[in-house]
Amino acid sequence: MKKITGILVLVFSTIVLLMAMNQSFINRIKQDRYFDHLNTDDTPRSLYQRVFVRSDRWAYGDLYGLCYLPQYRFKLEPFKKYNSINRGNPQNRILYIIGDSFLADKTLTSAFDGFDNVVFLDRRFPFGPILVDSTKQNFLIMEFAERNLNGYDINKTDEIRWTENDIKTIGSRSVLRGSGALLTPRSPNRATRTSLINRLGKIIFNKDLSRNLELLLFDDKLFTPIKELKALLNYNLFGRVTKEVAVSTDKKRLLLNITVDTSDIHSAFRYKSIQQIDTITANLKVAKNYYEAIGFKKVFLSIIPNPVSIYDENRMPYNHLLERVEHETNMPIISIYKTYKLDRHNLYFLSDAHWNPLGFDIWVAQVNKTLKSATKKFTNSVNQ
Amino acid sequence: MLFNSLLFLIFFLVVISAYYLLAPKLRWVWLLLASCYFYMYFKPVYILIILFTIVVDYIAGLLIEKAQGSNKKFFLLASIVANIGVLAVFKYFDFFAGNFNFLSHGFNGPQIPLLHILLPIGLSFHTFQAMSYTIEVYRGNQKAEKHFGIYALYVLFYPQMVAGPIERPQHILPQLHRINKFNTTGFITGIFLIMIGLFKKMVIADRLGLFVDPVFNTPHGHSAFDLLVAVYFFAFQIYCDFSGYSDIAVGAALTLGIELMRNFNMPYLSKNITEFWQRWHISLSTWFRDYVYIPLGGSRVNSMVTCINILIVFIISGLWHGANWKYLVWGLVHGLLLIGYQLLKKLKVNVKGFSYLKWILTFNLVCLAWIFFRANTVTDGFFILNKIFTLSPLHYTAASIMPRNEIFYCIFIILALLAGEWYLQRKVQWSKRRMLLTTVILFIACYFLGIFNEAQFIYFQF
Repeated sequence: MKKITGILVLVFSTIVLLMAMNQSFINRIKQDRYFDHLNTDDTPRSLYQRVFVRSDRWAYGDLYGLCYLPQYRFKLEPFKKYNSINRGNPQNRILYIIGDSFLADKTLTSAFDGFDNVVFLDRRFPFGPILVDSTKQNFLIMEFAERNLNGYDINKTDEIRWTENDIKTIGSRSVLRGSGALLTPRSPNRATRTSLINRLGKIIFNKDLSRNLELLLFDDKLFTPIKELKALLNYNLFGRVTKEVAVSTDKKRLLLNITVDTSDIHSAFRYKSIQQIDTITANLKVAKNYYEAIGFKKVFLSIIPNPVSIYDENRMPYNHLLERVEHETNMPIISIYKTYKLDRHNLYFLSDAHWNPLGFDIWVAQVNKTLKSATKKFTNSVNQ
Repeated sequence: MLFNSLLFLIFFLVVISAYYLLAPKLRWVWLLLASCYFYMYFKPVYILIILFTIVVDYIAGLLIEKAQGSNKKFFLLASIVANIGVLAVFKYFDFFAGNFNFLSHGFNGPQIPLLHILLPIGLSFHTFQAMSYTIEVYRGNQKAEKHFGIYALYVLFYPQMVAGPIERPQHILPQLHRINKFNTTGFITGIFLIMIGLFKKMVIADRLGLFVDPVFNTPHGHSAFDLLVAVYFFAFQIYCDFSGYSDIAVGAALTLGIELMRNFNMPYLSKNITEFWQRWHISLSTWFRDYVYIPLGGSRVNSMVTCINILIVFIISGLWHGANWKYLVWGLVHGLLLIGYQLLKKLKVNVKGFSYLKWILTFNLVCLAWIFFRANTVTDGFFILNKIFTLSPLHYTAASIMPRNEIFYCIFIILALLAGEWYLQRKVQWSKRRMLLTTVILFIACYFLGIFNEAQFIYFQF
């Protein structure tokens, strides 16, 4: 009996450990779990889905999924489908958007009027230089969540760092071409130089093993009530939530703690000197100049306010980063801050760090309005 | 790999199940491989440093045993120089070079380039354990180990290689040779100890750390009362952190059928400073006693030399903890306290009774010394000390760091810990069922009240 138990324990724990070491498998599970709540079709679930995609943490918002406070378990409303105009007629215009998690899983292609194609590039995952299609008019929106303005420097991105040799080594595969479909997330330098031993070492001594094991073993609907009980106990007894999350002053919503905690560079309440604002605007200018130099006709800046800046800005002295950058920069701005401040509706999910469909809709409308006027001006100037 | 991580749980299950399923002859190989993985998980390349000391000490052990007269001493010295050399390069070079550069800068003298090496985890622990082997072989208390694999396992044995207990070869090597059959009672006791350790670490130490760390990191922004609370909390944080680690180490070893020495014995109940050092980090204090204090003459020499010997031991002990002036000051404070106590004893100033007062005095003196251990710098240490003694302002200003109810909760769990340990000591025999039940209760407490941030054990840095 002891031997059989020993064998079962060994087999189970070894399989779990090996699965946790396989980072690509873990990433796949993560991604499938993240998007699972968006999957509304009734097709029967595969064995893989039944075993590994049983988490409900993302269905109620990323912040709920971090803290498990049951009073913030709200189902996320789905985003509407857009039907842009002029898609049938070739406009010879392409819109690029370099952005972050606010736009990552949105269907952007049909949201904007007057463009043949909309290409979204996620700043969180490295990509190489963009090779624009010079036969078309290319427009770019640099979208930033307010917190992500801190520390942005295009010179530190792979777009700039990749040398010509790197590009030659990987050929056209990894460079974003005009049609905008192909990307390689890893730098070619690293990919070619990593030896077998190093790769093996990275698998065996994977620094995320504990996190991966937690994902495999405990990120399951089955454990949600226990996690909620723990969260509730700690919140009610000590007012503590997980370190990634903060509760708003009015207790109505969850906030990303890095936007609150003044010890973090991303905090909306961390003092920003004039010099710091100048550095941010100077970095944005460098990026704008770079993009214009590689062929973009116009580069827009759009900053999405932190939820805390809209709903809890009186919590501590607010640094007004967004307004100050928008005021200081000479880039064309697609601004939604004032509209958001005046709007009485809720524009962000209560249990997620991002905007809700209404908030996104306002941004889309604002982008369409600005781009329409810009493309009109541009066409007029070309005709004259 | 951290004991308080999910990875350790799976690692432990793989190691323990395979260990008992394997043929007894192969078990040492398996344990050695597992221990290598455990260590290499921090930084794989650092295994080479340990491998170097293992090879040197293994050969030295064999040579010492065979050699006669002065050769014997030569091989021992060579082994000690190699071990201290590793410590000097990886742990102390930058400290001494930095201080030299500071002095030299004043006279426009030369500057020594710093190495900026990341300190290999637990270096002081396994180096001291390795040294105890060659010293014991030299003294004839231990036969040189012929089996290289077993010797390597003696240094690398995963439960205790990173933060002790610093074992003696006479105690461990025979156990590593022995073939252990699965013992249910030993296994359950091991799991019980692991859970006690995890409780101490996750429920007490890491909770106290939520207050201690921010207050000690910004002492200027806090009141005397905040600092005082932080000092007392740190005393229990470090105790629960380190004794928790030791409990897990002893428990993990016990599940493999190997007994490790006891490292703590309710040190905060000591009634004098000598007693404190007989109860705190016992494996290190006995190491210093056996290999430094007694060879220097111990207490067999005149009072003056004894005092100097005590100071030497405690200054080395301070530096053993870290290459920083603050540890040296901490060691010095303890050395002076011990000398003071010895002098009182010599002068026959022995107040009978008042045991509670003696206990309170000893505890508070130990806490005062902890200030230098935890403060970021010696200057910060003196600042905290000064602020506490001025008693100004004497109100709580750290509610944003820890609300009052959590402070009371912390005090409650500290008292519960002391009561629990006292009870554990009185109750010599625990039935399997009682241990399992307590393990389950501790597990539930760990889950619901524990801090899950995989905070590193404080003593890992040494």
